[in-house]
Amino acid sequence: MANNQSSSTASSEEWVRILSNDGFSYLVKRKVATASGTLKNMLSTESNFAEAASNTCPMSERGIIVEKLCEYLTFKTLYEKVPPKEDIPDFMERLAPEIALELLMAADYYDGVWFLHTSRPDQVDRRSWI
Amino acid sequence: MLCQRVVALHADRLESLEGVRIDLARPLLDKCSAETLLRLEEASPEITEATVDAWKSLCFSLYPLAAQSVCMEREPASWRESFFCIREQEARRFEDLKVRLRSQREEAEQRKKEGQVKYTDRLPPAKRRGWIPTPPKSLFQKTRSDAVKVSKGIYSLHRNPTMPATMGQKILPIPTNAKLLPSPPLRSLPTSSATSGSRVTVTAISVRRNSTATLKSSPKPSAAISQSHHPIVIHSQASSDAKRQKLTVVDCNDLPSPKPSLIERTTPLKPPLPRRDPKTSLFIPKHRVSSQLPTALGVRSRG
Repeated sequence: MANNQSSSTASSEEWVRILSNDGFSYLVKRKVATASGTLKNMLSTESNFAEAASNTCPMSERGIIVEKLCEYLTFKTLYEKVPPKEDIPDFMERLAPEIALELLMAADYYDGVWFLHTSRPDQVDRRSWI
Repeated sequence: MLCQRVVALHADRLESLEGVRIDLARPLLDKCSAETLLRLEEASPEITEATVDAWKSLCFSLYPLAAQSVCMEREPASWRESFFCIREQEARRFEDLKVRLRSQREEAEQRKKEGQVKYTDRLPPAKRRGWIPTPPKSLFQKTRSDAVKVSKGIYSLHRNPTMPATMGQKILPIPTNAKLLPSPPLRSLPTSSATSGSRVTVTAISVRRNSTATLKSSPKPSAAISQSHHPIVIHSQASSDAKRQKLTVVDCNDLPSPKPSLIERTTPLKPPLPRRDPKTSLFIPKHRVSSQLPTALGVRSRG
């Protein structure tokens, strides 16, 4: 039991690599990457996917889109378990309109991490996700 | 919906929705304008079925009354066509209203301008007499007509406003301290052939009662005064070497008052009276000599 907990903790602190289609790579913590449902399935150790074995997830998106995705995943992980009274910055300000449509399509593919009714990750209703 | 919110804020900058799922694109289409919807339909024909609701919501948001009237009978086949028809109707209605408002405003301004006081230094147009256009007078003609008016004003009996014909003529007594003044030299008056043949005519205004005897004793060549029942013969004074003027005999019966008195003449030119009513200046002739006011001729009794 203790070994399982330590192994899960160790795995959550592991770094995983996310690759864009134009050659950019982004290193994020496993717990950050698993905030996305699609990436969580890809990196699951229970599956026999190559991404899980190599801790590398290639994405068919441009580098700027992948960067924004990783940025949001980090934001979500950071403010998911904060007390309600704490002020959370608005992530909408960080979204450029030029990439908004492309980001919408990428977010739809990577399992609804963007379908938040509010910009507060702690108030997300998982049933509202796709 | 963060991404959807951002895209909706900049919906009019969308070029195409190719590859976007309809359920993702539907909330975005509601935020688009008519031109954007047309552009997106041309670029991505697959979203045509999704734009029906967008056109309907656009009709109701921009032209609610017209859309309600269209929808009352039955649902139109194409909300897109209905939108453009309604837009044209509204544009024509606004144009008519604009023209009407503009004409009303112009009419009001015109009425206001007509009622305003206008300052000008030009003379008003001459009144037409009998609708016969008279040719403009030359300087010589103007001078001649002025001279006629002056002479008639001084010596004409009928033109004296102080002695209206309806009331008859009344001779007023002159106070004793008044002096007999000679009549003004007629040489100064312009005589012209336009005075219908007569050079000078004398008007008998008033005869001094008290000085009748003195006058009788020392008759002056300047004035000859007769008694009441005799015809009054008056001739204007000229210088001793002056030519004799034509005498005009005025029958005493024409004069209703039996009191003879001397004609008292004052100097023709008097200094202007102070504090004159500006309205009276309209009726005073140009030359004060021919002024028909009582003060000018000394008819009004003093004291």
